[in-house]
Amino acid sequence: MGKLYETKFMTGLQKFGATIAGNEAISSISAGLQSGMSVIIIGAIFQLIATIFTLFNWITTDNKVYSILMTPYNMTMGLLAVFVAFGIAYHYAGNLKMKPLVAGINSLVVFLLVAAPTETVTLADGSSTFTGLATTSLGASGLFAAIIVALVTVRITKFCADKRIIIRMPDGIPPSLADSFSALIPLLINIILFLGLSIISNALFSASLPLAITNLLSAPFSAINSLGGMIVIVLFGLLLWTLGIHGTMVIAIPLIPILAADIANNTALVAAGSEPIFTPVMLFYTICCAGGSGNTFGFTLLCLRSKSKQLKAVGKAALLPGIVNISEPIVFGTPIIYNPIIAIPFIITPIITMIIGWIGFSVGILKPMQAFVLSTLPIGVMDFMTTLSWTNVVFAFLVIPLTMLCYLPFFKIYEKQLIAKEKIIEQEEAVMGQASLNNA
Amino acid sequence: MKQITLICAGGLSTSLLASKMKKAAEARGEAIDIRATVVANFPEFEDKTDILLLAPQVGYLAKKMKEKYEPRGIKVAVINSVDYGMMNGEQVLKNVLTM
Repeated sequence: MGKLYETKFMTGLQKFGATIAGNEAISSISAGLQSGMSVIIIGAIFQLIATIFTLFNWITTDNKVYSILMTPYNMTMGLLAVFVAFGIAYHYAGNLKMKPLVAGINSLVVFLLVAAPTETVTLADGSSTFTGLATTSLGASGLFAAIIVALVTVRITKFCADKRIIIRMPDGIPPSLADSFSALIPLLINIILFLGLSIISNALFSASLPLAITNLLSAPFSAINSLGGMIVIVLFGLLLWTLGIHGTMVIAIPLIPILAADIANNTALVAAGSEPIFTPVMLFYTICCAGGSGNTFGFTLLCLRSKSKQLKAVGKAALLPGIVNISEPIVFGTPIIYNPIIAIPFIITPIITMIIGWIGFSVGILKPMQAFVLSTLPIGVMDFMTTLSWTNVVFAFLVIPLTMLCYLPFFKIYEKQLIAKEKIIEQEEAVMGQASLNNA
Repeated sequence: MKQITLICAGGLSTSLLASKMKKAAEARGEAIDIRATVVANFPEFEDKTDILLLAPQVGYLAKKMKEKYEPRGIKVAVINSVDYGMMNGEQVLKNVLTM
């Protein structure tokens, strides 16, 4: 069985996964998305309070209090792509040993340029005008454009620096002044390039660049945003985990922008008094709702009551992290990595919970997410925060006994092996102890 | 004072281990500064790190990190995955101190 991990497929997958996860652009994207997470949570809290108030009919959505409560949401989640455009460029530049702050600001400027150029509109009174930025593409729907702008602007700046296409100042000019001058040409090139792309996109598709990007990506999006697509992606992520690579982080990169956009859409629907809509990408939540990535909490409970010393110790160490949905201790302690016996249920159970979740959403027992929260929270809490629905919380807890059942036969085989091993070690130790006594 | 930085993908599980290691260091009476962070944020701590420990799930970065930081005198190692799983702060610390 051990040879399984030496096959071409497995070593290839390991290498491929490590290349993706270790890639500077990819790790900057996930770091940039992560840097927006605290902002997202604060926005979601206000949005939830506003929604709960309307659920109990304390206020209506045209109430002044409602708009006050929703302002933090609009200024956080509603501007998510703005922060992400800055955050990704900041981290990417840092990774490439460039000046992070300058890169972040440049990316931000270019993103605003393509996503929300100022517009002046005449107000209803017919004479006064108002100038503002259109926020349509500044939120979740602009995330892909933000990612592209951040990566491309940093790359172009790097190219200019490498090819020495910068304004060089004679000696004697203060370095800080020289720095701001040297940043001019790359930014100018970036602005001209993206302004050009913006004009082309408006002429060809009569849509802004972010909108055109979303339209162009809609085919691969809808492939991902289906039950089959989700199964393939999640399978890939779980396989990476069994090879010791943080698979959830890898698959989150294509999933988060789609998920965030669909949930933001639901937030708007709920605010307008309609029902939120389920899309398969939301199944992402069902693979980490009971113990973290892979829904390992049921398995942790099995370990806790194991007769094998090793499994019992792992169960104890993994219990509290499991309750707050952190699965690393159980994944590495068992270990699930490079362990073909336990890898089988580790891969199968999240797929099963995903399919059951899909049925639950499709028949309407489970409620689609209407608040975007992606953070490590205790079992049940995330499910409630994202949906305000108790059935989703019950689902997360029902996953625990279900996954216990799935793991049980594999757990028994592995436990038996470990107990046999532990017995041999014990006997050896006893013999050694006896020998040292005899020597004494 | 020795400074140890642990890095992982989300900074969560390493922060658990870091707190266990701190306790183990206190119990041994060693003055060691131990912290955990996300891979991407490590550059913030690179000047304040003597030993860089990678969580096993980001072990694939070991080669790159070694090339980058060992010339600068930072020791780089991947944490043993079973010690990591067991959150065995004492064992990890013991291994680090013999590095």
